[in-house]
Amino acid sequence: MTKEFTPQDYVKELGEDDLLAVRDLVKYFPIRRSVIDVIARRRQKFVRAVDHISFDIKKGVIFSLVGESGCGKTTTGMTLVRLYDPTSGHIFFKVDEETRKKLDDISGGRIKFYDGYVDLAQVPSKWMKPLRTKLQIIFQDPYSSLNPAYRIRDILMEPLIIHGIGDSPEERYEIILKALEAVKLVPAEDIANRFPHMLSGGQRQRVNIAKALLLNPSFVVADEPIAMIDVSLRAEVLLSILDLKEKFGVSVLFITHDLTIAYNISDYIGVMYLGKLVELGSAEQIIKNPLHPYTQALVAAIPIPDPKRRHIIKDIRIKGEITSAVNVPPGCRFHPRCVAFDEHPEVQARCKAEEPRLIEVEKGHYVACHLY
Amino acid sequence: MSSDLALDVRDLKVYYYTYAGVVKAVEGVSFQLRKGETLGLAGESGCGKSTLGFSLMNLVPPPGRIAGGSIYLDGMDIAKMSEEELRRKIRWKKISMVFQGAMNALTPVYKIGDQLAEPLMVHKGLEKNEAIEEAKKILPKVGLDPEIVNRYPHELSGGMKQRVMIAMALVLRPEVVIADEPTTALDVIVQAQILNLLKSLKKEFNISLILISHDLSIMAEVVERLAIMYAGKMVEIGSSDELFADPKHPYTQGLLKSIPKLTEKGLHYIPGTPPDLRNPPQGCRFADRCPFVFDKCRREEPPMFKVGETQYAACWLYE
Repeated sequence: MTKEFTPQDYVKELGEDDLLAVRDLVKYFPIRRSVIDVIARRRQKFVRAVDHISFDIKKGVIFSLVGESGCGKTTTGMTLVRLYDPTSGHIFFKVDEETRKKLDDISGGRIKFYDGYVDLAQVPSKWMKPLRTKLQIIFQDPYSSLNPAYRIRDILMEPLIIHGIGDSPEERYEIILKALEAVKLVPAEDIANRFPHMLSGGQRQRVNIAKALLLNPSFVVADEPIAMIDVSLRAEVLLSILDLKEKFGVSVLFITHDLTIAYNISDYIGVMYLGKLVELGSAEQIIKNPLHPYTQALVAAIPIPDPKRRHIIKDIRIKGEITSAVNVPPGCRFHPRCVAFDEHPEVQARCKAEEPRLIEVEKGHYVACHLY
Repeated sequence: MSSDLALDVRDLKVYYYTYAGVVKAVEGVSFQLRKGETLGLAGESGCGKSTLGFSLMNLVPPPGRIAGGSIYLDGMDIAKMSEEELRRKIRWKKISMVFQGAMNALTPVYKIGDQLAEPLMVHKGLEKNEAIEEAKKILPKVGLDPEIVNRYPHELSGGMKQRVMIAMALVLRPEVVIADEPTTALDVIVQAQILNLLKSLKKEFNISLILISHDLSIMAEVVERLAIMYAGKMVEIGSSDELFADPKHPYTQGLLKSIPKLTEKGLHYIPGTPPDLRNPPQGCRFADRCPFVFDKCRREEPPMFKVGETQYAACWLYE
């Protein structure tokens, strides 16, 4: 552990094009204790949803977090935009001059800046407002994330009013139309006057992307945005997300369980298992050359649209099922399910005792496994 | 009906009679399921594939019902049977179903053993302990420890529950099993394991399997023949080798192109949205989204044309 590191030390290591740097981020959820637990003085238990993870996101890239349900990928996304307060760790986020001034105004200069970065983990919620425009999130379910009683126009108007963007209703309406056109919801005037139920899932999700785009953010979390969209319309939503990056220079944290989609859309992929990042690298490196035994199993499990493979019973090299994030196995969390663990008796002692750290195996490709 | 057919569906119509109007969820679908075959029913949400699956057991949830056509099984027409007959002769004995969302398909207040034993007690007249013994025999076949008969559903993971659902569908050794999106709520690894299981069980039990899914990658890995549905109609059917290699219907072509692949990067979609099934358009239902649409498509509904060795497509391009 790098305990003596100060925020300044972390920031010093960052490159010019880094937008967001997560360092040792932790998010634990306490489990409710019963009266008996309290009387018996049993220790408070936690769901260790995110457990000391670190990664960087550069400007204008799509970074995918993949893993099984319960691995902590959504919690990570929610924590990065401060919908959850982190338990500990740092989230360094680069802010422009304008936001910096607003932050100074609202806090009376009490928010610390480190070389142009602000540590999101340390900004109290009451001072987050200027940052909210820069951090946006797109949720999984487009059927419940739009208020059915409001027209699209009114739904999109609200963030503009709250953040005081645009001087008159007419000007705001213009901004809304532009955002709708940016996600190819045309004719924008027609869409703006509709209610959510008059749109398809894909269109609703693009309204959500437009909503994220309205406030001119620099970082957007997209949490499984296409999980509930029809197959034939998924690409439409994905292309809008690609536009976020390509036309607007926004960085996107794309959360998905589908490795094929992650491969097709992202520049970098991080693989999570039980609250830990186990492998990190470019999309190409992760899919074509997976190193961690868990990533290898995930990649082997991807269904391939080729009917010639139909007689094959796939060899998926993994044992058992994901354990709970409350009772995390000691050492490497993956070792109880790891096939490589059985095959390499020489590392077993280390796997059981010592938590592996991310090691750079080839340029930009990190893996947390004692085999390397 | 020739004897190598497990199911023969002819001109089936299933409508939902809602207050807002009649939703024609399945409109004139015909297909045959051979014995021992795996047939896939693919399509997007709302295309009628699940409704079709339910109707094969005559189990369409109200306000829906079979409005026409027939489903022959062993010379009997399931579509015209009474509830009583269906319960006694057909459901679970001849045709069983693995329901979508295994998480919620098991009763939370009964032990797994009791739930597996129930069909055996009702249909085979076994005593409870005999039935539980029988249930214990089938659990290892789906890769579960027989001892879980004493557990409650909440003690099992999603993948294990899905395996229990599969065991339950097989417990009376039916001829036809319908699996409705059996892996939708599951993680990638568990999904691959369940698909492996379905493949090996199919051989072992010699069942005819109908797999319903929106995911064509899954279809490719499992089914021998594939039917594509769009807006309540079957638009193409054929062996999966032929259909994946050379899709004929423009919708199938678009759908196959929409699957993201690992071999080449690229994102494609079919512009537009499916029609409202309360008011389906005249002519071909795909006309509004079709890149090759011409006059006749909007006037007349296309019948199935033979377009390959085993392949049929409902498109005027192949008249």
